[in-house]
Amino acid sequence: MVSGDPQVFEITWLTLRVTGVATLISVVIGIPLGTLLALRRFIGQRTLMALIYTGMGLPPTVVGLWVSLFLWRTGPLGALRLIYTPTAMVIAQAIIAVPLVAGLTVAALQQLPPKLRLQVMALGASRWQLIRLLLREARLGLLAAVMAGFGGVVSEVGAASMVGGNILGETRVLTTAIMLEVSRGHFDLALALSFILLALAFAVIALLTTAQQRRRPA
Amino acid sequence: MKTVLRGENLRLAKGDRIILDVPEVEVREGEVLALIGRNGAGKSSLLLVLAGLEEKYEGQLFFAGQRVTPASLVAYRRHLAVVFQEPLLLSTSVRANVEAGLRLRGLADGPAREQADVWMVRLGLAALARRPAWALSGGEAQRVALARALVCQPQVLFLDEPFASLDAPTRNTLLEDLQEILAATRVTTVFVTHDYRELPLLAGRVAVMEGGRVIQDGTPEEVLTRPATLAVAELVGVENRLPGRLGPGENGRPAVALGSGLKLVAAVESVHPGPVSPEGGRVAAVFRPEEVVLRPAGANPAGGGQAGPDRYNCFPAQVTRVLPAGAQDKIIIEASGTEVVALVEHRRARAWQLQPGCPVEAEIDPEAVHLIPY
Repeated sequence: MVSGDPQVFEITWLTLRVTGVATLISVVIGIPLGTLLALRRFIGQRTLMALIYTGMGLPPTVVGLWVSLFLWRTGPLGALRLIYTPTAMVIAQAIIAVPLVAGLTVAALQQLPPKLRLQVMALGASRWQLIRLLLREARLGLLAAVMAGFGGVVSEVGAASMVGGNILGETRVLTTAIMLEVSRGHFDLALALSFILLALAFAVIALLTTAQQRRRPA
Repeated sequence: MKTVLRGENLRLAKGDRIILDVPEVEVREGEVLALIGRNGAGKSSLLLVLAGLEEKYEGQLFFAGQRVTPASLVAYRRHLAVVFQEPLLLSTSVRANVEAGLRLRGLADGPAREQADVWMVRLGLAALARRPAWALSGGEAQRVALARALVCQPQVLFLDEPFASLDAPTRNTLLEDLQEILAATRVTTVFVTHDYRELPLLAGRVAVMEGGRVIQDGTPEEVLTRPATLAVAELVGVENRLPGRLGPGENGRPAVALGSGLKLVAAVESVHPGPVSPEGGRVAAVFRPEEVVLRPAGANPAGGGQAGPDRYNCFPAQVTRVLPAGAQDKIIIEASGTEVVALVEHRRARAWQLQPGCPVEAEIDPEAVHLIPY
């Protein structure tokens, strides 16, 4: 990267795009899902919670396998021609991250004082005002959920290589590139790529941590 | 007084257990209604139902004559304010907390700020306006919670044991402030407490709850001196609850013969509830320890006790225990095998050198003796 290798830039940029979009999707799905699970009571809630908590420990290779089977040209979604594309990688990574974000959102909301919800209702909040206020109160936990989601996708390699195919210039990301270079015996290059990945992860997490800790109670 | 809030056939169940069963409850305009009871008596549940915060109840709720429905709940809650035992402040500044209710009602910055300023000054929070809520002490936080409720100019203010978790000096100061505010604003208030000492300070009416039901409804004086049941008597600090049987009266006054042979004469209208038990019926003579006048044996009765020729309930006794209780000492005396609790100023108890074994003379005004059939 320091020497200005365009391939490395490309791989880094794709990594950012794939992980960024996957994290965004996981936040868009995971936070409302977690909010629903934490604040409402409905039939099948416990089963859904159990599924989400199971999903938090889902092996990426299993996700990669299932997404591959669905997106394979002869699979149910084969007509979409998504296998070995960045979109397929985003789908697989989002599936990995959604349970993480949803599960930690449930935990963040359930950690609020039980009567806070009543207090906010007593202040005259409508249903949406209530949800907005509770999410704001749980923001430290929610940022942790986003960090966990991002951490889950940025470090993931199994699913990305299975559904992406690790095609240079198309679906190669930092993790899959590191894996490839190690298998080729190019440890120096693999090490350099690992530093880029670490720096990238550190920059994003540092940003989120700063936002999280800015108004943290002592 | 006009009825502001009325509940009819209010029932609430948790699983198979009925935790609230109140056929009728009314809150009148400008009154301070206290709900008192033991833990699990249903007082907080009743408060939550009345405040529109418990949606799974049976029965009807009417506010200003209008039925409260699920569709009108948010609008209804905007006429009210609630302060819980924990301050439950939002993790933002003191000012933002005080303004929170106004903001949720859609009030603009300027008016919200102005109204918040008024209550922050009144509750001594002006200097703390920019401080984050998490940096406040317990007392300060509860003041913010109170300001946040009062700034909304509620038509009914609900207080759910707001001072229960505070230390004694902070609680006393806040109680005094709240007394002044309630007297000045005349805001209709429903407050939950398990501390009977708060009743005469704040309440105009008291509903005593037990097992989800209201078992006594009256003025603080009635509840404190004429408890409906022995359980209520115990709840409101009536430590003398002496079992006996209704005996022949004296000069038209009912009297109770205690098992020990001691006889206590009660006030004419002292039997609660309903008609006087038949002679020989089981009754308990109940009276507050502060109603027992003690003096050293042989001392001049002047300066305490009953006036006039008809003096009842005077008997010799012996001190068995002396327990310090703040400015007063709790003196346990025994008369003919019956234990009676009295309160004597600590200073006086020391001057009289009251200690176990001391002979004393006790006197109880019949007007202070209440009889409860059991």
